[in-house]
Amino acid sequence: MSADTTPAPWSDAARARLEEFLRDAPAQAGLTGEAAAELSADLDQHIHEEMKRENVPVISVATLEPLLARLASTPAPAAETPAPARKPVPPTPLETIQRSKPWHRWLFLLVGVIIPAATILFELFTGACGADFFRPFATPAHALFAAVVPLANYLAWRFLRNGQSRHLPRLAALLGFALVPATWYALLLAPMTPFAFVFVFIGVALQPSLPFLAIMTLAPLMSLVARKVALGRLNRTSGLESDSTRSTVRLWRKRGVLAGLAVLLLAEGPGLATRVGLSFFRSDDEVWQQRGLTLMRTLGTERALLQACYDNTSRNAAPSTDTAGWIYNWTRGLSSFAGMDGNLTTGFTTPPEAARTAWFRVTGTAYNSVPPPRRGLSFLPETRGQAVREADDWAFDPDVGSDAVAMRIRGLDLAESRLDGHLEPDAGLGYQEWTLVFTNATALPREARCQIQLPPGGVVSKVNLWIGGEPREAAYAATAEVKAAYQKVAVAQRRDPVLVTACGPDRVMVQCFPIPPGGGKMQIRLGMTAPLDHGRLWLPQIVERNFGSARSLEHSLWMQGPAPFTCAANGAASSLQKGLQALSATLKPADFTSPRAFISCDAPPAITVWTEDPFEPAERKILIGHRDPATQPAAPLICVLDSSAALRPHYDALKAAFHATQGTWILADDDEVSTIASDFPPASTFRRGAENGPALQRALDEATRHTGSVIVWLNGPQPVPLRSSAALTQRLEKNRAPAPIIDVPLSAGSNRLVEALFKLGVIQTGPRFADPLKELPPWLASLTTERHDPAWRWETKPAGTPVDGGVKVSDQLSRYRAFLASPHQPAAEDARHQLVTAKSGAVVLETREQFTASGLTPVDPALTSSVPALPEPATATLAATAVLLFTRRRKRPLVSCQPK
Amino acid sequence: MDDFFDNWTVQVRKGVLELCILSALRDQERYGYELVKTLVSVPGLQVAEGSMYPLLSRLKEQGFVETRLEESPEGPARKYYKLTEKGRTQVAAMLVYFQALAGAVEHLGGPTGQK
Repeated sequence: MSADTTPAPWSDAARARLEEFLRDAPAQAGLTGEAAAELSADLDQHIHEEMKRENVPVISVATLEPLLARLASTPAPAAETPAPARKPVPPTPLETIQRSKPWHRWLFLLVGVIIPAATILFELFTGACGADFFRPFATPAHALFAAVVPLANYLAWRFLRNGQSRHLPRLAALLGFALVPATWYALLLAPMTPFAFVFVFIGVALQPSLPFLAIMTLAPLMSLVARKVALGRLNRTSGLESDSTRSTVRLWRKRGVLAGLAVLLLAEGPGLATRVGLSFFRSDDEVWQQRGLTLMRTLGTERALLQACYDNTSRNAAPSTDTAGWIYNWTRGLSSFAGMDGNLTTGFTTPPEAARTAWFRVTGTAYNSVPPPRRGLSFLPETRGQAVREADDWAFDPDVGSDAVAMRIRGLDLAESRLDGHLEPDAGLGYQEWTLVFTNATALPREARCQIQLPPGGVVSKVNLWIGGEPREAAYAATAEVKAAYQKVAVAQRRDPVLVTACGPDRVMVQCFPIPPGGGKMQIRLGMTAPLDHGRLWLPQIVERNFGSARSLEHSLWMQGPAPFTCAANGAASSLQKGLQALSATLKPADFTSPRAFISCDAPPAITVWTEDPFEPAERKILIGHRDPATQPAAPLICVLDSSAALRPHYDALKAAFHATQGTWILADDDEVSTIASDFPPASTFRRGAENGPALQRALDEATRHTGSVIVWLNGPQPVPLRSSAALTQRLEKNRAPAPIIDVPLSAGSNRLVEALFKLGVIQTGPRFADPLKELPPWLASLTTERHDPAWRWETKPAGTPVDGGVKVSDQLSRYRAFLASPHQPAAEDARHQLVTAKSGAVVLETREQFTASGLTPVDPALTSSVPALPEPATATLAATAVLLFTRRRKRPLVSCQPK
Repeated sequence: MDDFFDNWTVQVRKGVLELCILSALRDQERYGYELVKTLVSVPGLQVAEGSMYPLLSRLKEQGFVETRLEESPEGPARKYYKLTEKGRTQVAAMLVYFQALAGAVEHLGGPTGQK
């Protein structure tokens, strides 16, 4: 091709130019690494070959450049096919857009990304908006929904700096989606927006942090503007790219908007449906009420319904609610302003009582059986210090001193719990002392209120309040008297009292006030005397409360008795300690809110027992109780079955009981009453809260047709006063001898209907079942046949009179006898025996002057109930020896009072 | 010529460039500079000299050509290219296809298409 000639020397400049060319060429070809090195070598060799053919003395830059240009350039057009002149290559559309001014980009980042993201984080960690206005992030999904806005803006910001066109559709979709949350939250904050604009500039004069809060209020609006700017630039970009790109971007943006709307509907739809359902439920028209319930049950959410239970209460120092409630409040305000009225607008003013009733009808539980809605942090875990926010601190409790347990108070907790008990199998009795310590972390004095379910057939026989570290005894008097004293001291004077009154069969209402603010504590103690139920001593349980449980709460249990026993709550068995069987255990809080915790003792009761009655004079000092055999006749059975969700766990037991008994079964199903003929209703029937009043009325009607009928009411909680209560009580007041109604609560919880019937004295205590499937059917069946249950027969003798064949027991016997006689004796007798019954109550006041001013006298501590202390070993030995000698002298074996 | 023709020739040139390289090496090995000059001189191919070397590298990576270096006293070592067996088979197949295609295009008009 060419003859080799001696190559001409290279000038330094030419060599430098060659090196530069060889360095740049691989990069321009898009090569790196080994391929780049190979190309450089190939071009170097090519250039040297070419330069050898140049007939020049020195290879200069001028000689080199034409070759370099040829190597680097595109091919020249052929002479015969001249290509048209190329148009100058314009910058890409993206490059055009990306050449915006730097300060524009940083302003966009601040307004569209940093402020919205900071606002979301601020709300999550402080709950500022949630505490004072509405909770924007009720669930994690809500927070993620809002977080799409700064995320989309951030990605748009990055794209507009150095993005690639192929990402345009995805970004358009994200920006389309972001339109929905940004608009949604901007609209929610619209009522505050005008003020925020003002406070941005002058708020600092009122409070230094106000401008920052105002900026955060405007964050959704700002992010909306930023998003609009980003979308505009994207549209310009896509338009410059091509028509198809523009169409694609528009399509994906629309898809994003639709996706955002779908998510919004999923997130907020149930809350709005709940509010609309509530407005229907408030109607006087039963058809609309049922529609409201159906709407709430099918599309609503318990979260929004629970919030409505706490809305519009004076507890809410600020009108804090959820987003749905916020919309309703403002819609209500606007409609009132516009003079509108109608079904919906009247529904906007849903009072909390209606919401609480709706809660029960929808869920079958009490609204205060679950923690109240959180007002501060939306979903992040609460820490101890964060649990109580300022708004809760200063929230007023309107129910102080009232008969209602009412709303849960955040920051008021049960901090310590201790239960000491003593079993007396001979007497068939058990005595328990429950010590409760409440703590108040809020800034106001608080009243702790709760309903306690006593062991079946039990009675409160001791009440203490710790004042200055010492337990003070209560005064017992007629219920009206002790309530008046409590109102006077607690509500008017704000001093330390505790009040215990009966609110149902085996149920007492406990109120204590004031629990000091700022972490203050208050300690009370209840003593309970109760019969053993087939050898079982049931533990008391809290069925309704206005306080929570401290995180560290444990229930310390100490039980003692002369015979071995077991604890069903944790399976522990007693062991011999210092001459007595004793058990020490730590129970979980759930054991005191569940109806399944009991102590079981197999030792049979003695036929005859006696005690020295501390409340009687010498001539009646010895109280003797005989368990005589008695026969109960067979009775036609009428069962009223509550179809509330609380009974769903016992479906199998109820079904078995239905098939095992002869009688009439009446089902309280939602608003309707039906008689169960042959087919037991399916389990799905037990899924909500049902009114039981109409079913009980039907049962009373049925009972008039069958003389001697007994009505057994198998029920769950009825935590709200329902419409039917008044009609039922009116009916019972007119009926002089209604059939007895036996209350069988199968699930723990408050029961307003039971409370109403208790005041009329027409309801009796039914048994409790450890295993309803095994125990309920035979018990119901036993009611329809003649049965033999022992009945107490009492006699009294002067002090010092020997009792032949009787076992001496503690003076709990005298209290229990007085409790059994309570329906037939005046309140003063109940009070004299230190009992809390339907007619008498107990109150502890702080000072003797307060007792005197109230006309009350606290009882003598020497005469009160107590759990006997364990004897010292030496004492135990002496006691055992004495008992042994005594029994030998009598030559009669004791039935079961010996320690084993 | 219009834009359409210009674009079409670009596509055709792109399509036949590899065939041209492999064909140029069918009968003898050539060193890079010589090969490039040969191809540049093909009428209508209009190939840029600098763009040939990356293409040769790719063909080498694909196993159609192989190289050897020969030291040169007057400059950088010369790189010689020759077909591998794989490249030889490939170029034979490509030529058959190309000739068949060109013939078919030639005769597409047929008796009625001929003027």
